[in-house]
Amino acid sequence: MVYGVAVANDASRFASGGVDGTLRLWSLGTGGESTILARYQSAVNNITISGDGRLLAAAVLGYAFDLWSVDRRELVASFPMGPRGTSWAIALS
Amino acid sequence: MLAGGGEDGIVHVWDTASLQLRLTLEAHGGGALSCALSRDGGRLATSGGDGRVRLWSLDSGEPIATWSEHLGGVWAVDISRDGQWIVSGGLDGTVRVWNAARAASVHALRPDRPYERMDITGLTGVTDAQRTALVSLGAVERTDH
Repeated sequence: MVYGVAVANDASRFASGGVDGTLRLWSLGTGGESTILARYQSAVNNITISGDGRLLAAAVLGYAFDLWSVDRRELVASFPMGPRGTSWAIALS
Repeated sequence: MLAGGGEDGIVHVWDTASLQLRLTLEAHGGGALSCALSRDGGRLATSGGDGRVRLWSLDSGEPIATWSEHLGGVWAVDISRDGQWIVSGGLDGTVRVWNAARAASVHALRPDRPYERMDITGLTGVTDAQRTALVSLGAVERTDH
């Protein structure tokens, strides 16, 4: 089950995340080619892409917020928030 | 800017350049369900399980507006690039449009209820419970007598 999708403003790609914990980056031009950015142990509850398309953020079950570089396909920062329940809301400017 | 929130109702805001925590906002009772940032990163819209939609200034860390028209949790919120317009939707089935400068919603959109636009007036001899039911069905518009 997919919990979140986010499309880059330039329509080059989009990302998806869901209950299986995989964070995927898809190419819009080639019709379905995808890269797995991450395999989380828990669900990806929500994702978003920044206005310039360079950053991707994920709200991960267990209340952590992870920031990814889309171009480098690597984790920029992780903000684990401790035992607070579930994280739902996420936004990037 | 990166904003994130969840079950405890707190929304944290980080600077994505310095990766430092900028703000900790006690935004909602019943959880922070959704949030959105304006394009310039100056404004943040949040929505929660308390039925509220809130608009924040990230310069001051203070709320600019708090709107409470939704009945039930507000699961979706988004904001225009300039931070002036906010749209929200939730458990009550309505989508509401807000403007940063106005205290009440500009539009409230919802699918027609079973007796929408019957516009019954002059209703007498019904109990409060019956009247409430007729309002929820869309048959009468007002709950007062």
